[in-house]
Amino acid sequence: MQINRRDFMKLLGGSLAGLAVGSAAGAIMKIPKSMEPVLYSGPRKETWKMTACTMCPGGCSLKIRLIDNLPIQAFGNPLSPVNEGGICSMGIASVARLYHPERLTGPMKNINGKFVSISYDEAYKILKDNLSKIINTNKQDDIFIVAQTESRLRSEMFKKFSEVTGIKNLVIDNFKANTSKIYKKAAGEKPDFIDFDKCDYLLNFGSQIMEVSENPLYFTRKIIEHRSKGFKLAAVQPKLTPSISKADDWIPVLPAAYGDFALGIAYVLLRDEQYDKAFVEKYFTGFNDFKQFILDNYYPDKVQELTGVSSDKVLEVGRAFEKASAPAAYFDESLLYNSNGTLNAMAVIALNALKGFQGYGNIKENLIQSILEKENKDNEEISFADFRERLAGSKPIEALIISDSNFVFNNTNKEDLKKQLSKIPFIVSFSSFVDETTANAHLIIPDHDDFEKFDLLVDESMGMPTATLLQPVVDHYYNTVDTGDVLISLMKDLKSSTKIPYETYNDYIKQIANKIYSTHQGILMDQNKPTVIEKGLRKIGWQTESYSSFDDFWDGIQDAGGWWNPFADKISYNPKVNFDSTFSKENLKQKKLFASLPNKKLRLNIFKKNLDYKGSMSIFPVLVEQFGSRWQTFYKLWAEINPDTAGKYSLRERSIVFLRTDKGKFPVVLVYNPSVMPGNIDIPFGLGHTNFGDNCGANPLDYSDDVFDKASGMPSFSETLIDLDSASSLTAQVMTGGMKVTGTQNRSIYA
Amino acid sequence: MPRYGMVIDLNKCNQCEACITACKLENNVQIVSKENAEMGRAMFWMKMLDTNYEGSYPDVRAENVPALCMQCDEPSCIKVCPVRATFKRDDGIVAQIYPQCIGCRYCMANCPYTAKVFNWFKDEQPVENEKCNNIDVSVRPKGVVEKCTFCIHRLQIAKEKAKAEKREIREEDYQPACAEVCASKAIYFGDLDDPHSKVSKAMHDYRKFTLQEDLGTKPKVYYLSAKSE
Repeated sequence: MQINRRDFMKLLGGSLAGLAVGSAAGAIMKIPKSMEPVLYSGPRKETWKMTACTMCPGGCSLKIRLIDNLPIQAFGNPLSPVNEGGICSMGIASVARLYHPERLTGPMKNINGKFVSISYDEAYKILKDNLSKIINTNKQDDIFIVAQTESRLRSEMFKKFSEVTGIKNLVIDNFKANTSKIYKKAAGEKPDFIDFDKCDYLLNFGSQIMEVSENPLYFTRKIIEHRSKGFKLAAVQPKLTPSISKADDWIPVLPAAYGDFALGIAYVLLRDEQYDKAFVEKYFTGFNDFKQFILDNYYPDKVQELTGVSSDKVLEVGRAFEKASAPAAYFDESLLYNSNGTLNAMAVIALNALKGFQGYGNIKENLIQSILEKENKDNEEISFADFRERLAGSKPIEALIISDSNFVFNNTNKEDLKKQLSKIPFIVSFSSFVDETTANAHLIIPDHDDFEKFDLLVDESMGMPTATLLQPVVDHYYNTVDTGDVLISLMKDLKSSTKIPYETYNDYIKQIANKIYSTHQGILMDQNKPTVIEKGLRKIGWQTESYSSFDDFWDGIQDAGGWWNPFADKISYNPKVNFDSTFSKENLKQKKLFASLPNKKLRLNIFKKNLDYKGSMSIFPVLVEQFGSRWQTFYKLWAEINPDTAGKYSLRERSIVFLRTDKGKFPVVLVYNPSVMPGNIDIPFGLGHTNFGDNCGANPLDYSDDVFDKASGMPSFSETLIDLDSASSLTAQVMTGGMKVTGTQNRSIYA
Repeated sequence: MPRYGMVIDLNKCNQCEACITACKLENNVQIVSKENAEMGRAMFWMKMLDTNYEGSYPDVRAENVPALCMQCDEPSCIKVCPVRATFKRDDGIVAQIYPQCIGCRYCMANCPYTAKVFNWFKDEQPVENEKCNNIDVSVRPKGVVEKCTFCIHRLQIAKEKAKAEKREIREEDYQPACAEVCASKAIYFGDLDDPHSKVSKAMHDYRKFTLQEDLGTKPKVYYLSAKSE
């Protein structure tokens, strides 16, 4: 760096001014231009507004700081039972999305490959005309909807739209719902929550439970709190992620072999006769066949061969699970990122069934569930696998509606998907950014930013119903429209005979809030957690409400940020389970698990970091910069490798190497990590966007084999082999993604 | 006079890095370009130290330590500053007078915790971040050394608030951004000399240690080891 005389004099002048640290805007300080009106003209009025975060499935309550009505910072709501004042990096960064220069400011029409601004009226007419043309000829089967949302009420709105218009092909990508579908198949319904008050042993299969899970901040608190009370966390996962490093026991299992390990634990329980006999007799259909199948096929030595976990360890974990008074085997969507993901999940459910789901619980009279069930009865949606199959098949899709789903980026067959999408005559996207999927659309009607719209994030994963309010922190800056409003207008216009009981999405949210209010249960998030005494008083009829009418309640929920019912009673979860022929030799024959690796091949194991959720990180510069900071790798992809594996191939730490798969090669910075499974190359997911946000690094899914879980359609994150030929040249000169390498000390394994 | 300090419980810390993001945005720390990051000029007032691994696969344990300015009682940085741009306040916070700093970087070289960063840049925040800069914190000029201040601007605001309400400053009035956002409540902050404060109680945990104790810098950022439980 060079400091010239002018700079020096400026600094000297500044020092004479004697401005002390921490003072607000000093005259000599460089103030960003955009802030000048606030600093010098505005009254600098500070206000706070409550809203919610939808950056992951957790649904944390946020406290937004505004200066002169401009949102500038996000903090956690200390009185929210979900996050208790905590907040993750994504939530902190979320304010910047409002001001992102690439955010779409209004509807756009694709004319010869270029997006041109149009009015909302024109955009809506195009959308309505295209859909009505198909619907009027009763070809609803040729229309697909792919929506990614973590809001259950927004999901319900899509279901309502699907029901009213007759468009049955609805794919909803929702973290919690994706696992609910599997529970639904095996056990009828998903348990409401892990009962941390009872559970003393949590066997976690593949979930990054404290980072990206159903309720990461709540799980973090509970796990930490209960560890001192004897609670044990064991984690079954190939990678030692930050979540796993908090576990009492880490069981590194071969990628995709989770189900085999779960069945290995089941073997121990069955052989020791330590399963819940009363439960299985009453609720486990086909138990005897299951038992025989497991005893024949999942003995510890066999499990060792299938999973890479020693037979002793299988026995040790099995015994720990059987001795626990209320164990729970847990999985979430992360388990589905394998070709046998649904099977693996079924195996975990079966393991729970053997112990009578003792670590789980349900809420007695689940208010949220009853409201949603009343709202929508015929709400079956299809899986992404069905959509994928139809896309690749010969029967054409006439129209596709996309809402916030960037499935082109999040899948392994990006190029195929793009080609298939190009054949669809009409695609509309409600995305706020021209992401990799929206780039294929013919029409974009951008949704409001989260800080500009209403929603209610309902949940029961804490063992009590909660409803966190997402509300506008500012009036919408641009010519955007709430997607919920567009759907309601379409329902009215396309099916005028159907009566829609709300005018706008806000009305719908208010109606749900009114139903919550009318139960006169629970409290607003404006007071501390009730004590045991308060809970006891509540039970015998004492009740103090801070609101006397729905209007009061609505004002209160806006001020407090949400509502919850800490007085809800818990009941045990006793579902009838039936796995039909899931556990048969035919279904469980070994797939591409690579228990033994072919010569000079490594496994590509893609993992998610908590700074990214479904490829959304790239629009947040602060997160992209931080992404690899722990490894001192900025704006580029890194690969973690066990030093022993690296030694075999003479690969130095921090060298830049190309990894080659059948789809091509991509550069990575090699980082040593002794916790990486020998034979694995662990690579983070999140970089490599090509259409929006920061375009640095590479997306490892672009280089992965097109392997999917057939039931859910989720792409496999860990079933691709990487070639490691011996290097023919020790000199690399790579100019990719900002990487510059010269010199013989850096080895490229490909010339 | 309080003596502000921090305790980080590594048993609770789940390495979510929210503290790092919060620190960065609270203090308007620059997000640098790819080229500058490539040259090692990325700026973090708070960071994760290199992971310490123990054992060999599969019996590996990883220890991750979030680190910031240790706010030493015997700070080595102030001893070498030729213009007294860095100094220790009465409340124990090691502060930095940015306009006085001449950018010689002696303090950086002398800090055993590599807690200080040099600002190579004129203000060049991405526009979306510039619009949500924290107006309580000045953007530092090019050519000065920066570091964690325990979010000292928050102390100023808390003092003003307490004065207006004619009362003493309370523990919860003044918490740095990293402690405020921590979801696992792993960061305790407050007056180390107040026997009733959470931080002073945490400081008396038998798991307590400081980084590079042997150097005699007397850090006021303490850690509670994750190993003992």
